[in-house]
Amino acid sequence: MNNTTLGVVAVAAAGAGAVATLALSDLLTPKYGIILRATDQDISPEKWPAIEAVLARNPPVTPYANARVSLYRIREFKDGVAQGNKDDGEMVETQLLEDRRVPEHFTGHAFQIGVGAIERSKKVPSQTPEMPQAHFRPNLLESKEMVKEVTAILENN
Amino acid sequence: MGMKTHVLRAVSLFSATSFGLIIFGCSKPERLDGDEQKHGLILRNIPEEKWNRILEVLNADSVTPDATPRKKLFRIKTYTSGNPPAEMGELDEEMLLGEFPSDQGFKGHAVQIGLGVKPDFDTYPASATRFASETSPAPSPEPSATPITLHAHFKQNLKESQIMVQKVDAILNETSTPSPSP
Repeated sequence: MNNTTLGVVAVAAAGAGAVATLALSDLLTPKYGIILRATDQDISPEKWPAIEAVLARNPPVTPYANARVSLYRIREFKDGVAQGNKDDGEMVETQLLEDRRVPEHFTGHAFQIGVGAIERSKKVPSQTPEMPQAHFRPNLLESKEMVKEVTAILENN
Repeated sequence: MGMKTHVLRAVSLFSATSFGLIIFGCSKPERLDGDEQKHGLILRNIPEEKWNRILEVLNADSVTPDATPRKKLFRIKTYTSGNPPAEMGELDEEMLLGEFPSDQGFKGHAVQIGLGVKPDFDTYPASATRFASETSPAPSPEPSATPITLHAHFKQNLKESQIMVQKVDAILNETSTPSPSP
């Protein structure tokens, strides 16, 4: 192998590594929400107590965030039929990213954990002071934290 | 220079590149201020000559199917000296990304236009059937004790926010034309 070939191989390897690392970093970065359509095979019933503990954590870890109960909405289904009289969690229904339909004969847990959105705003003028106590921003950050904690449980085999 | 040295250099380059990307690639910024399309504007001190045109945008009908009326997607306080601020728009206070200024020492308009966020979520499991209202077939209603929401308004409101921001941003970015002399 001559020097040129070796150089080309090194650059190609570095490029492939860069692409792979960027893709990996995006996968590893916690999202701001999870839309659930999880059957009992997807999330075993033994994991739900740990997930429920994350959802019930009080106070939230983000200063000024709302209680976590307002940042999720989950319903259990058996053979396509919603169980119980109401959803778990009090996330406003108009904040759900997807509607309430579930697959036919669905058995498992559905709906949403976290707001599921990341801030993309622009301030005019740009030097307008930060106002950390406004509610929506802390709720976005708390959503991300919830997703991180729930994902850790889901990935723990 | 031997073959071993070249291989070592290649491995070093690869490792350094990957390490750098791990360090910097994983720290995705919470908010970007570049050219990425914004979904919300937080404004203060809007030039008066642009104000009426911005109000036209805010008062227009929503163009995104199933989005709520635009008045639900903005909130404005207009501060004048000695008076409590006049309010317009019905964006839920819980959805504000920034607090409005206190009355003292500020005159002008303080505004949030649009929700100021874009979707960022995973579906679990990744293979789950998606039922986004814009892509789904005919609904099979969920037999539920709670009302069925056939349209996910939040996603529609995010789209409508983006459209409002585009239009208002275009007005703000126009260079001012001198007013005609009387």
